[in-house]
Amino acid sequence: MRLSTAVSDLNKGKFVEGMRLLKEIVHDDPASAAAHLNLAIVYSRMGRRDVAYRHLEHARQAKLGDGLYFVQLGMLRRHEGCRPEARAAFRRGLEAGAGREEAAAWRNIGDIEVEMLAPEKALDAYENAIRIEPNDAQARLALGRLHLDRNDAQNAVVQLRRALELDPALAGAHAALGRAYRMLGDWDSAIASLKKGLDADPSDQDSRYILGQLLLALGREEEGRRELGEYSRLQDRVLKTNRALEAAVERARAGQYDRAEELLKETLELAPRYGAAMHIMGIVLLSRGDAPHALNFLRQSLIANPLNPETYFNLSTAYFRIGKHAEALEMIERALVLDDEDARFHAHAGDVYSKTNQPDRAQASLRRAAELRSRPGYREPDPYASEERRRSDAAIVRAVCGL
Amino acid sequence: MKALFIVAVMGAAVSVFPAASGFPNFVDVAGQLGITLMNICGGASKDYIVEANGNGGAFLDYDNDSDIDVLIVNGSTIDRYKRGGDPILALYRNDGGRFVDVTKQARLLKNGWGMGVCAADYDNDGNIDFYVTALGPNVLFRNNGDGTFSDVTAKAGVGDARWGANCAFGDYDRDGYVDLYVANYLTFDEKVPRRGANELCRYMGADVFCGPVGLKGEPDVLYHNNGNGSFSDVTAKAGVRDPNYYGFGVTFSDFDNDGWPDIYVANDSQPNFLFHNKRNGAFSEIGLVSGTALNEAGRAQSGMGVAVADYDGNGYFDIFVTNFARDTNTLYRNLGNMFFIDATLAAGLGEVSLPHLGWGAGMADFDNDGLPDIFVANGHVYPEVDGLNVGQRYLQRKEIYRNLGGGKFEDVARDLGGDVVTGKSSRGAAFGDYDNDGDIDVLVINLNDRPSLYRNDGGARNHWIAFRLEGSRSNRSAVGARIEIEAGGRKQVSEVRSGGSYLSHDDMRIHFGLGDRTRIDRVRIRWPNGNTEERGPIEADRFVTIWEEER
Repeated sequence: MRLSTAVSDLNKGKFVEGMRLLKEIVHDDPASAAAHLNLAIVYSRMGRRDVAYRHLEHARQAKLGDGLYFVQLGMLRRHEGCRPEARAAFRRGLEAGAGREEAAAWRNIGDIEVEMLAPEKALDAYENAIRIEPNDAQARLALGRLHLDRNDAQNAVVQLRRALELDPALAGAHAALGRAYRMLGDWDSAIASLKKGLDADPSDQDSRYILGQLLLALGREEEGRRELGEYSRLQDRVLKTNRALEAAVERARAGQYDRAEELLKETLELAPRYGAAMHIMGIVLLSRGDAPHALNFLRQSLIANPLNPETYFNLSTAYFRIGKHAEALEMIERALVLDDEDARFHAHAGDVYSKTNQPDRAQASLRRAAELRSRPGYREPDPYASEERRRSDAAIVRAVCGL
Repeated sequence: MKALFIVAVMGAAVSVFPAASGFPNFVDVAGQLGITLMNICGGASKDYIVEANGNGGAFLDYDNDSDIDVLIVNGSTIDRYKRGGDPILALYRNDGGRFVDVTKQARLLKNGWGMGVCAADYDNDGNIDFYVTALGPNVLFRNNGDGTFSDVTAKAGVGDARWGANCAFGDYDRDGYVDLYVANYLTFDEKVPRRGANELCRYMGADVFCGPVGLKGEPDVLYHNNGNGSFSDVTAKAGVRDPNYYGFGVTFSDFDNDGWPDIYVANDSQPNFLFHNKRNGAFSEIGLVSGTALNEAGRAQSGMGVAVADYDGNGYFDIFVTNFARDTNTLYRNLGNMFFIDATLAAGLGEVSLPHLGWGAGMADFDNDGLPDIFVANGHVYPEVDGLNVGQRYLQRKEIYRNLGGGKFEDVARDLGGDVVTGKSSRGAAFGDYDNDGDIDVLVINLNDRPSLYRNDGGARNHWIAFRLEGSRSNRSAVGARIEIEAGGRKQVSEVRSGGSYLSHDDMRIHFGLGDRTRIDRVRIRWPNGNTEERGPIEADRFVTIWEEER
């Protein structure tokens, strides 16, 4: 019951709640393979592969079937960039019986074969994925793209159209279908597909570029230039946003918070909903002693990334500073659900527990903080690094577009 | 008016061994002919990006004896560079097909960390000069006309201290003096992290050197030749706006055939630039709207080298850009009116290029059938790929694409076999006819290895003609001159260029393959200043020198 609630929470995007439940389950029943496996999946998504590996191993010890174990291991190895090892893991998973993960395993093998420059093998793998799960839109998109790259637009169109029937909002599919129609010389269908892509997602820069080029090639100069003008404007903003944010982080690390704040304001003017910038602005404001405004930015940054423990830690700090201890407690506990190996979190939890009259817990937290800090090679984490890792131009374009 | 002067070089001096496929063979004769300089470019482990980018070379006739000599630029190591670096140049004089190291006699003993080279007669004195890019100040060498060179960098004002990559001379304002474009790469200083230092320093799971992504790019620079031995930095004034992209390949070419040279720059990991010459001393950057900034999927690639030719015979120069592994090289087909389409897949250049990491490239008619083919020098940047089992190797073969006509190419290197499929980590490539036998040979600079000189054996089975142009009112090297020939009703077009490929400079004589045609009906030259003249008919299989009419 608790497990299904946890999984349901995770699927609803209530990550902290779901993880808290999963941790309770593995605390009460260390032999819960399913709970460990789900924790491994979430930590993998968070980029905490070290923790993900630990849970995966626990899951295996708890008799998780080899099929699921190796498929998840394949995912982890793939995230690490270790392609041959990932492929081997997926294959072992398939041999052992991956159940409903079988199609996903084949799709992943297909992706890896593409990356390893083995297109024929990739083709086979994607076809296997689709044979097992004909409604796997991702596999059809990947197969369509592969056909495109092999100059086989006819087959690309078949797969991409089916992918879009299955998932009309599938990222990247409209652009790929537009390219395929363009290769076939079917300009009208190409334009229609690219426009649909832009209607579905105005931040789809690939569709916009391809559409602009196609319109220019067709002599529709004004429309083509308009699309490329918009493309250019967005790219320019991405470039400026990236540079302003980089400069802001550099200044913040140097303790020049005034200048960092100015640069972050600039960043957020360019990309008003850019989660990474809001997160860093929150930290900078906190460092400058402006907890109320920091709270505002940190709360907004959670929308973009609800899995960043650093954000909850900073939220807790901000609440604590303005005397809202209950809120501070809730936030630091959330941070600890996501990451219970950061000494700063435990030290701060100690302060919060003290203020909320929980001396035993306070002492335990402070002891834990001291223990973590005494570990060989311990280094205080860089507060700016957590969101830096997640930055991507696509995310900035969405932020610029207000999406 | 000076007379048309024709130098006939009939009959090939070397043995001809036609390849089974009908395409010429390429035989590496560098060692045999005395070109033996060992390339130095960092250590074997490639801890820093500067150790991986390699060097270039040039074919140039520095002694005006009608055969092309070889100039090679060399790098250094991190440790030695801190102590002044290694000799950055080696000049080999072509003595009837053998090469003699004349670096010392030519007074080219200079230490540092060299990168690339481009050449032209910047002072119009009849002797070809050259510019060397470097990690640290670039250097302009003036040819004294007596077999020696002088470092005139300070006087000329072109000692850009940033990390220079490719350079190219071109007379963008048609004032009779060649100007200079330098593509700068990135800021390389003590802050650049070592191999594997952070998440940006990983490739397919392995720790590798850091960059370029994550490091600060350096803007390019355009120098205007003042005509008095000095240059002025006109980058901003001329509208050459570079938002600190990582510049690599660069070439001047008149892409819209309006008589005014434009500039194309291949940027690493960023969109490429096409600077359209506005004919008023300024440029507008039209990479995006021209279709040459990104590939057809709308992605910026890792542009390395650039080659230019009219591969489809429509009278407009097309662009070929080499890119990183797991990505295609890109062929931009020029439709005229400054609009290009990415013809890579349609031309058959897509999937086949994926395992290769391309650098130097040339579009030349290697089999003299009248259609420009493509040669690509390849080599990975990460030695670690050999241990990754990911379908890529550090040492890579060359790609040679035969132009089949109809916009299609086929890779013939594997069928040719021999020296071009021997794995090397190659970088710069220069193209020219070093043995004056009527077919195009290739000089390739290999990273931490000796250079290769690929002698073309069999190209001259077909007929050919080559032109050396000398400007009078235009710049003396005739850089920017457009030359169009007609033979048997078929037209071909080419252009005199400086720089290009990757860090390299080609033989400035313009070569055309003629197939079974034994003469051309006419040649039409549009000189860099816009004047045109026409000659013909001219018999095939010879070098023809044409001086610009003094009118």
